Amino acid sequence: MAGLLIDVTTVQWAYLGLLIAFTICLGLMTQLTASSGLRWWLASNLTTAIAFPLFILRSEIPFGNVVFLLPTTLVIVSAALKLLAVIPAAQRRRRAWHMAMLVALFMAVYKLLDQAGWLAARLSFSLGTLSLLTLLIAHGASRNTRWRGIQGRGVLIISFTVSGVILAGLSARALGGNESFAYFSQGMAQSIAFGLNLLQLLLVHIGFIAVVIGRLTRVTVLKGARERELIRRRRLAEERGREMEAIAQERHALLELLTHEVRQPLNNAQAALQEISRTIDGQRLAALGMSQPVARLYDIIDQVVLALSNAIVAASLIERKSRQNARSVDLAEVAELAKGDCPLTAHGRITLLGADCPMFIQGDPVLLRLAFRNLLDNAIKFSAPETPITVKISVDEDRLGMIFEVRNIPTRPFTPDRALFERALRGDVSIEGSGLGLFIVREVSLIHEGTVDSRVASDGQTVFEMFFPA
Amino acid sequence: MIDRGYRVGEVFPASVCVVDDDVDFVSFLTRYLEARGCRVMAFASAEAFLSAPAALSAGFFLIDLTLPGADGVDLIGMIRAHSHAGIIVISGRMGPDAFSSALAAGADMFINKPVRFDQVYQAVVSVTRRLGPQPVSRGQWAFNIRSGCLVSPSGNEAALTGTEQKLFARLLLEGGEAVSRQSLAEAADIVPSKDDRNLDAAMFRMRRRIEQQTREPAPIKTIHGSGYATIDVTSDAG
Repeated sequence: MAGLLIDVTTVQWAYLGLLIAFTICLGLMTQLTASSGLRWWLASNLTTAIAFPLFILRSEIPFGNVVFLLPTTLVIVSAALKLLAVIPAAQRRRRAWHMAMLVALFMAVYKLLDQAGWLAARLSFSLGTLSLLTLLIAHGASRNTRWRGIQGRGVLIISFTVSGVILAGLSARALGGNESFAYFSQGMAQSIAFGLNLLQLLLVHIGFIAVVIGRLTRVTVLKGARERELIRRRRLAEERGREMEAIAQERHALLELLTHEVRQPLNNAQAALQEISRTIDGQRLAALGMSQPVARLYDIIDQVVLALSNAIVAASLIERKSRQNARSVDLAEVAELAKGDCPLTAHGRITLLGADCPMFIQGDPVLLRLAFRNLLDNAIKFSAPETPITVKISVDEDRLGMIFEVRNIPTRPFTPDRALFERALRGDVSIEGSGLGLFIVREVSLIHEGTVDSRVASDGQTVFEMFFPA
Repeated sequence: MIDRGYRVGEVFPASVCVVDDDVDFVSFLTRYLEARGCRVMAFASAEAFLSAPAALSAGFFLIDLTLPGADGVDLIGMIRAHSHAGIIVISGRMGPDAFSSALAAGADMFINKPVRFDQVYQAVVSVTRRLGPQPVSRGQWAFNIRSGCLVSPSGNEAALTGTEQKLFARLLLEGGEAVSRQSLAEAADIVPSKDDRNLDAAMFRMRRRIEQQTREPAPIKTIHGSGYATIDVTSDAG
């Protein structure tokens, strides 16, 4: 049995050597994983590595085998750090406070027991605290859901549990001993204690390394799966985007085709109607009672044309938000053409002002013409027949741009509202309309980096104004 | 009708060539225009048009884009290569592609069907007025540095003020590239302001002067975020 007796210092140095070897191994593992638990574990190991030489030095002096405040506290701190290492990161901040308070309490009680000269109680208290922390580590590791299913977790839990139980036994035993009692006892008991101590160090580190590697593998696998899922989703989104684009293009093409197919016969009907108007004298037409029906027919065709143009332009505007067809456009010329697009019966009501000299902006003439036509249509609809509609084109010297303005006398009091320019919103549902007209006006204005506004003039007239920066 | 100092008789061309496969529309339009004293040549396809050499001498062209055989856009390009006369596209196509391709090929205006004959008439008047009674070569603007006059491709002159001459001369130095607002302000001794308003106002007034005097869009474009640049202008020290 004497051969089993090992020198205390040798074992302590061996323990320290093994601890440092594991610490280096774990230090190298930090290159592989960003696990914060690993870093806390490393801090714990380093704390133990500082504590142990102190124990060794203390053991060289009389009563050196009795635990002292600094190395004992370091061992307690080391155990507290290990507890922080095995719990989930989210709980760490709260637990760190608890541990700090526990260490402070430990130091205070230790000091009191030391001053009272109760050395056995002091030793028992130290071992008891260490036992409590070791069991808490085992508990923490068992409650860490992220470690579930990882190999090595069981080894870790069992090792800490067994250590905790042994330490509890030693604590109880120390309470009945005297001041010369030490953790590293004498004879066979000492050899068993050394063996268990080294075994515990070995097992918990093997367990922890296995857990870290297991976590790393799991994270890598999950990351790979997530990346594959992301790639799959991105591909799906791209495919969906292409499908949507194709559907939008198809819808637009169909809309164009439809409008083309409707426009062509409408064009011929209008041409035939004009031929009738041209060949039959106006007075004869009136005598036949056909003047009004013919005028009404013209109006209907104009309204259908406007509705078709609005529908296709609105669909196109929603898709594109830029001036694709920008060129120098004479606002006066466009205003004149927009007036020409209005029903013939309304021509006499519309007066163009300020169109005596050209006013150019960079714009899309087709869109501008439709926007102006819509403002004129709005003025015609919301004013009494025969009342004047004034279109004014002017230069705004303050804002450095051009203004297109339409005024009419409203049949009902008008309240300016930005919501009027929203899609499918109609000011007066009793008046025919799709709710697209003013939306197109606003969109055309935005495309030209301009503004659109409505107000009530001092004479009570309704004013709609488009501003285009030069 | 807006009176800009022209009489309709002076600006409406004596002969118009219509290329459209819609027989009814062409027939009614021909009668409408002939009733106004205009000689009309009508063709149902680009091929029919090309087989009639006299067609190219027409004073104005009304072209449909969707034609049997050769496309209307190609026909416009071919006409533009031989004639400076006005070209209006009358088409049922509404997409931006149709518009931009027609204008890029050389058309002067794009009208969507259905269209009333008075609208066609008005559009022809507008384009003819814009091009001038005697359409000239669609060339470049010229800036006479000594006289400070800017001459439009149609030969109309705009007399610039001293500051405007400095601004225009500075723009010309870059040969169509963007010139920063700061460089322009320094060249024309314009008092700098935080938001460049003084310079922008000067540029705005110059544009207006050019457009009012020449009745053509000023050959200056705003480069957003950079400054200004000229478009198709040559300098003439003369």
